[in-house]
Amino acid sequence: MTVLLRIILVLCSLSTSAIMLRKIRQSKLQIEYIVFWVFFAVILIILSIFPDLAVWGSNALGIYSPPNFVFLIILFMMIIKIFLSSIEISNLEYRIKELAQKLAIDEAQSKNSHNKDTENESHTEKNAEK
Amino acid sequence: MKLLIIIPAYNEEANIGKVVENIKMNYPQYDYIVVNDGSRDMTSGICHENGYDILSLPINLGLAVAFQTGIRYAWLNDYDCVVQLDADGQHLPNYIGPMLEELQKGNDIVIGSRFLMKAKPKSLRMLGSIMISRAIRLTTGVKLTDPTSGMRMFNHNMIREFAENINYGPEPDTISFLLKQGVKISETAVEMHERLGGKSYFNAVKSIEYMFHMLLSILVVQNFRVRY
Repeated sequence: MTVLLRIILVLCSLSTSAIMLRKIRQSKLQIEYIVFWVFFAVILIILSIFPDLAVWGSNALGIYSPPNFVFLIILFMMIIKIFLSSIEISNLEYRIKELAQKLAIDEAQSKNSHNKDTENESHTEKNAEK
Repeated sequence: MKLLIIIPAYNEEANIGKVVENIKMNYPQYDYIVVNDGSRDMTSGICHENGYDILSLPINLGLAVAFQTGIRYAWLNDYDCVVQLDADGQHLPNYIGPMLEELQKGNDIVIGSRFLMKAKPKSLRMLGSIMISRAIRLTTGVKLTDPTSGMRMFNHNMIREFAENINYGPEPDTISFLLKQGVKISETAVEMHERLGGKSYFNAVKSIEYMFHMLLSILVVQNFRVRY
């Protein structure tokens, strides 16, 4: 791995961490969401400090050059993140639907009970007139 | 002092009745509010049937949101302080008195600690608590004997702060952050029971995930946060 690639990896991981921490400072990100990015940044830094790991990995997997192994790792992590995001999104969508349905049902029920109340009132009024 | 007991409840049909009846019978001087966190069992039904004070969230949003709902209710109704009490019967309301005394000594948060007088048992379950204690001591210099205790009391200023901000879950990392910001936090010795019935939603995987998340948050993230 060239020194330039290693420097780029370090810069990437540092800026990822910095952006995420800044978002938390601005109260725009929930702390739960930072776990993955810290993990990501740590792996990039480890790979750039110990390039032998990439050499070993590329030899073991029969990959032509160590930087390709690094790209593969990053690709894998991105795929995992996208996969996790999909799960989160579908969960969110389900909850929005559940919320909307609940709202509709509650509205109908409160209307029904309101109608019954007014009916009862008019009955009692009629009774009183009699 | 107007005190509100916040009881977050998620699928606690087995215990909620006993917990609330105990408060109503033996501690009528305290107000309470059950926050039903979108339970799928009879938790909400039991509360409505018996006329308990309850806020019912329409879907499950997690402990942090349920607790914040109670906090916002307290803020809107001008309570001087709140205490969190678990709906599973672990926390005993007779310790609210001593905790309140400690709060009135000028503390912002009082934690009901199981290990102030007694040593921590050396079990796998306590390993997490020990590690969180160490992490908080390392980053704030303050020794908390029971940072994971859910029985915590908050004063008026804290009610406001917890009501208005995000990333203020009722968890050790928030405690660590506030300690760092100079908030006064103290502990009072309490005893706790095992949960009365039903099941905890904490399993092995969830516990490890929780630990990992807490340590990362206390050791790294909280150092970069600012307080508004």
